[in-house]
Amino acid sequence: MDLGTMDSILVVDAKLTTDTASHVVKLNRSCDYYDPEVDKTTISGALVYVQREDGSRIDYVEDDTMPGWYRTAPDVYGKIGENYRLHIEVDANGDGQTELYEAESRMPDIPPIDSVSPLYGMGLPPFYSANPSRLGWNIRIYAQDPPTKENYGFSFALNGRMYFDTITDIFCFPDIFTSGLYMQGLTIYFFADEPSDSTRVPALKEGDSVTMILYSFTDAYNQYISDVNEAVSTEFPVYSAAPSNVRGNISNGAFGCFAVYSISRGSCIIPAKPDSGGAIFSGTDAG
Amino acid sequence: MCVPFHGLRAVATLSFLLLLQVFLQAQVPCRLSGRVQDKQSREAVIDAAIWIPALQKGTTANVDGFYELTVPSGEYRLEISSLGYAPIEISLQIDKDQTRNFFLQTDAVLLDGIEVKGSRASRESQNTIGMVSITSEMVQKIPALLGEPDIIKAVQLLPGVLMSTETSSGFSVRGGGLDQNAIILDQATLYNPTHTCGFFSVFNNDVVGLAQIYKGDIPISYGGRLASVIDVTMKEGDFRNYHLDASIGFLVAKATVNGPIWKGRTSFLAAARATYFDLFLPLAGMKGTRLGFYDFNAKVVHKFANNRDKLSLSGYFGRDRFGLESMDIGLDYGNSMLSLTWTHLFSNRFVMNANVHLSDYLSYAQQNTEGYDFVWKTRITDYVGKMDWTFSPENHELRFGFDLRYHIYQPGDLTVNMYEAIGFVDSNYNYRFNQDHYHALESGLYIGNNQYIGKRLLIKYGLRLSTFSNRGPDSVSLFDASYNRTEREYREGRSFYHTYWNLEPRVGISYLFNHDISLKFNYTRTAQYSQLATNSTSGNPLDIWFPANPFVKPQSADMLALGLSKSFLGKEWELSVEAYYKFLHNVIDFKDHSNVLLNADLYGELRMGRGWAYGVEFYLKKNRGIINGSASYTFSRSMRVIDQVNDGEAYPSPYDRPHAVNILLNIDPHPRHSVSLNWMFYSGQPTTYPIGKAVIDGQFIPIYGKRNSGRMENYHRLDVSYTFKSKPDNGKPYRWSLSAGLYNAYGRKNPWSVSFYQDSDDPTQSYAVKIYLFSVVPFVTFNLNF
Repeated sequence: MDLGTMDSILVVDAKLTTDTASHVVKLNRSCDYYDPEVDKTTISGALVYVQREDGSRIDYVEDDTMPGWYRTAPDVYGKIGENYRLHIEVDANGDGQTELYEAESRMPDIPPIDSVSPLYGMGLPPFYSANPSRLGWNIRIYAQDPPTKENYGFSFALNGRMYFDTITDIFCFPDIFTSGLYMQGLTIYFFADEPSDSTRVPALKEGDSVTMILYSFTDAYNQYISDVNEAVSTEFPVYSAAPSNVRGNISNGAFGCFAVYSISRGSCIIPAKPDSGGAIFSGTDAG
Repeated sequence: MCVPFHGLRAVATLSFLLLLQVFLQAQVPCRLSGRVQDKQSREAVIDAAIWIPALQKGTTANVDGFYELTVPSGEYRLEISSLGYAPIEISLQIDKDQTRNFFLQTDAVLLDGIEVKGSRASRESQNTIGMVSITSEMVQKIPALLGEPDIIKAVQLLPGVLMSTETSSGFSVRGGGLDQNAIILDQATLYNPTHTCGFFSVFNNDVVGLAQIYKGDIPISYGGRLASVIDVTMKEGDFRNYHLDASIGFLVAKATVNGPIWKGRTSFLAAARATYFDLFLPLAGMKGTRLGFYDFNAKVVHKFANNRDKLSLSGYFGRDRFGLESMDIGLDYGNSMLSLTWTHLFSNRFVMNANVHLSDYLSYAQQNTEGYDFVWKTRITDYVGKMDWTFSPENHELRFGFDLRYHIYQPGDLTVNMYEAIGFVDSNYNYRFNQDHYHALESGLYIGNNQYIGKRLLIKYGLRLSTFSNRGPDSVSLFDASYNRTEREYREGRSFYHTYWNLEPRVGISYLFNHDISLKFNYTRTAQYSQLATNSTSGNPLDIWFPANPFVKPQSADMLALGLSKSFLGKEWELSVEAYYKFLHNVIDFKDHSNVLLNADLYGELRMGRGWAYGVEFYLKKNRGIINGSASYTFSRSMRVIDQVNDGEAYPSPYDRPHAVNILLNIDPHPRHSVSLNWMFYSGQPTTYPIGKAVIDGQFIPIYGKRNSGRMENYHRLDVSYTFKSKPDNGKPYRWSLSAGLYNAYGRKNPWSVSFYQDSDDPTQSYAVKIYLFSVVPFVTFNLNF
């Protein structure tokens, strides 16, 4: 099927979070839809930095071993409420002239996770349907959702390994149902005893350490995640609008997003399973 | 006769023609009047044509079958015909005023081998460009998907009408949107004409009396839609005998009963239809799944002893049900209507129709589980009153009237209840989200005349004044140039706070040349105040009706159409060519990433601009004979220009399918055997394809080209059906027929959607996947009539 071609544009995957870490900006070129040489699209030699409100710079330096990856020093972190401006100078379209690409974002607020508790039984609404033939661990969180509008996302770590932390796997959830309320044991992930391929959630065993990772996204990044997921999901004409391009926040026609977001975490250790039938809807919390 | 053509510029001059005609009517010798009735049931044959070839003059029977003609004395040959009936010819000596009643046999009798010579005059459509009448008998002859004959599927075979997607009952007429078609059943608008998302339509073919389809030259008595009108009249019950029809098809079972309540005075008709394929779903491993629909039609007609008054009450109720019992989740939707009509004959030439009706469309999704439930619904309700008068003095048909429609729109209400048991929040938690409900009054006031001048010329002129008033309480969101909401104005009171009005002139002229060639020209203006917000191209139960308001201007269209038609060999063959150009104003489309569900700022998702559509339609039809049928070819385009969509550049509308071919062939070699073939071809549906990709986290993200700049593969398919009937005179109180056939006989894999994927085995590769719904689908239906 012939799809036509387009001129290359800059693709930006830029991150700055509240974690103290080496943050990364990845630069690529877009390519034709069927082009298989996607690993040859990285862009090296760009000048990349983020400017704080006070004018100071966080430099992103290209990784020697990974072309197109630009990293900060390992002790960098973003502060809630502070405004950040991304600055990229690069010749992305190959015309021999350097272009300037910019984006701006303010670090959103995030509530702490008070606690995380496992509850054995059926998956709990609203995110899971209570199916008595499918038992497993509900991993539930306790946190105060502030009355302001937040765009939440979740992923988790099991025994230190990250799950569902890519843009198409992050579990996004708008706070329209919870805004201003206390989340009293809301099941975010349900770990069925018999994992199904469709959910890709692993089964848990006694002694596993589960860390819930809560993200708070800016409106722009939340929209970007939503658009990306819409763009890569299956489309049926009965339930889909005209396909539309992903909206980002980078200037000068670049594709991508400068993602500035905050993170909070909470962990629990999986206890022994209760006796069968014991705690399906016990109502008492283990944590 | 000298005709002041040049005067036909504005409506004002038309009254002059009326006066002129009164003057020209001096020579009036004899009056012929009477009634045209069905030979078996004695029901009135609506719109039967009475034609006198020698005079090139005729008339049509009114809704009660009455006709009246004034002719110079002499001996004439009369042709009496109506769709679905065998035409008859009668020689008549007319030398004084006289009454003659005619009785027509249903067309099926032709198959008995009785050769009836005659012609199908259908003078009523002489100057109506793109007007077609369809009866249930005609629909029955078209091979239907899964054996369920459907009038909407028959409409989709007409030139200028395009099926929106495979199996869909949605359709586009001359480049218009799915919501630009008025679908009317006994005067009431049905807002969603589909069952099971389009596999079936709301019209049970067993109760369809007559369907009139207007593709553009919309009569002044209709308003509120830009592109077309499908006006379906439910059959009346038999006033003399009882009948029971039952049929069981592949997926649908139905029964119709009709007969007299008071012989000769009052009749009833009741029909029920339901799918039963749910029963088989557990066999396919789909236990606890609800999927299907049911509907009921009923009509009671009473004719008063004075032969001048008739009351009819009709109703429709239909529901589609989807759901999963295990999760107690479901989506139900359907239309209902109740319509009361009083017809009064002041004389055979002057008829009044008064109608009140209620129409309701509801779509309702819900889930109930322990500790959690939600309900979402969208609804539109109409309360309507209409009055219509038709006065038909010699050579005129003057029509005037008004309609008042009170609309209540509920774009979307969501209620979520969560209980303590789920541990979600501290206590019972209730969440409500209501999009504003909108109230509006739509009205139409119209007058028009069809005027015959001499034997050959017909002119038509009329004017419709339509208004649309928004009424509180509701709110109007205001948006800036980039469609960000700036403020919301609340209208607290129950008063009307905003009114639009449109003058809709509709004029036409037609001339009958020698050799049965007629030339027609029409100009039609239409306005539309209610539209559908949809996230799809085919229509689905999540679509939302919403009104024009101070922010969204009503859509309007101006259409110019020119038609040439000729009949051959005693009207056995008909050939027509029609060309049109349509200007569309305040066209609505949706912005990129639009969200119409539960969006308090629904209006902010809209983008408005203009559009145009043009086309030429060729249509050849053979009305009779062992081999009969039709063939059509249409070339058409439909384009839009909307700020902020496609960077303001023109783009094809979703209904832009330049080439369309439809061939329907019926072969009736024997009274008991018949074969039908239907082949169709459409250019591929416009769509938006990716032209590039970005790679984020190893994931390919498509970068799309211009809106609708791509096109799916062409659509074509062949349907075949064979019908075997009992002997027409089998001497038994029942008749039966058995139909079998193939939908998509040569198994064309027509694209329903095209999606793009990243190869999971080799993530550097991407590929396209075409989804098709059906290859060859066989079907069998058994019908039994008592």
